[in-house]
Amino acid sequence: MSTARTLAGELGADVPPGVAALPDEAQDRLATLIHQARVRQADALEGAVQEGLGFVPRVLRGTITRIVLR
Amino acid sequence: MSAALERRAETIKLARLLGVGPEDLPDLDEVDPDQIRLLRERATDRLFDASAGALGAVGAAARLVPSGISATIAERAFGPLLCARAAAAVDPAKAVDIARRLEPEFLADTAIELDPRRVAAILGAVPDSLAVPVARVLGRRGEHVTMGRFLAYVSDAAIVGAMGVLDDESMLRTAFVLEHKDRLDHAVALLPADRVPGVLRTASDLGLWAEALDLLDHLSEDRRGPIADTLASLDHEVIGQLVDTVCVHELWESLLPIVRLMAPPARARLAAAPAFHRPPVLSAIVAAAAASDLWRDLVPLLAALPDDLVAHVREDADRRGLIGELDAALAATPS
Repeated sequence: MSTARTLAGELGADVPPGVAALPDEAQDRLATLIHQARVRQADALEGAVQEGLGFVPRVLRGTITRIVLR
Repeated sequence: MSAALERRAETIKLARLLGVGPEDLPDLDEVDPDQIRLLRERATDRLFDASAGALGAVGAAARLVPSGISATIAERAFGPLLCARAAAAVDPAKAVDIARRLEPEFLADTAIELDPRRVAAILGAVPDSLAVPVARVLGRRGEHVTMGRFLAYVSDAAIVGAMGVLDDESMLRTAFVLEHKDRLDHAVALLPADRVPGVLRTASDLGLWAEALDLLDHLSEDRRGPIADTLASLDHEVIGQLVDTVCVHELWESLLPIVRLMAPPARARLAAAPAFHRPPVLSAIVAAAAASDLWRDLVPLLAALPDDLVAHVREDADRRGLIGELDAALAATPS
């Protein structure tokens, strides 16, 4: 897999031509940073949802849990 | 804005999106700023789309939870980054109601992480009572890049309120890094006229003439005219600093059209400033007129200069083989 396709894969879209002209290692770095941001976001979101449920009044908690953890 | 500054602003925005410092990014010095912006927008879409299901569920849940509790969850469980990501999934009226219950510092942190394209409906509904305290925090922190991303999306009332709490330096620096400069003319129309001299003096005091001229570049001629007259009313010492900046950064393409728009008495006052009488300055003006076809803009200034200086300009133009262009411009301009 080429570097450009790796960055394109992380972006889920074409790499802008000016960025595609960067050296391979620079594109690798960008792909890694986007991947790490995505993983961090997913982890943080999961943790926040779990923690947030603790603040929901008991009467609503079942409904909200079904919505956010469906 | 110069490409270097634009690239710097885009690099900061990309680094923020990815949760790293600008120094953690690869060297982007050779990349066009527009290309960095495109990369950021595509990466933004990717980050939002990657958690679209979970974020949508959070938005749906927010509809059922009282705003006060949602605000507590936002502050204590989600934090600014996730709030910024989830905001697009929340009903705009509900989002504003939740925001009212949050501290300006928290909202400022969230604003830094927001993608204004995705929350345009919320931003358009933000009342000035909410926008003003957040603008005050962002201004105090020097978050000009963040403020510059929002202008195109917030209401006139919010813009007026925000401008009321931002100092002149923040206004200049924000205008310089604005993402939608086509909105500048409208925003400046909302600025009280009595702020203009202070903004220009600040440009002089802080060496921000390049920023001020860039702002003027993006205004309509109707808007620039009165500001041009105010510019001419500044002390000759201040005018001297302006001319020095224009010479160093070769900004005659910005300044000469402003001089042309001045009312004749204002232009006469400007032309009386000693800075315009220095031979190297006059030569630079002739060179700029030739390089950027500014002859039409040069003529009104010449008409306001003393005869001996006009003779100097003519000699200079003659030496450069440009006297034909100068005379043609003089002949074509009604006296």
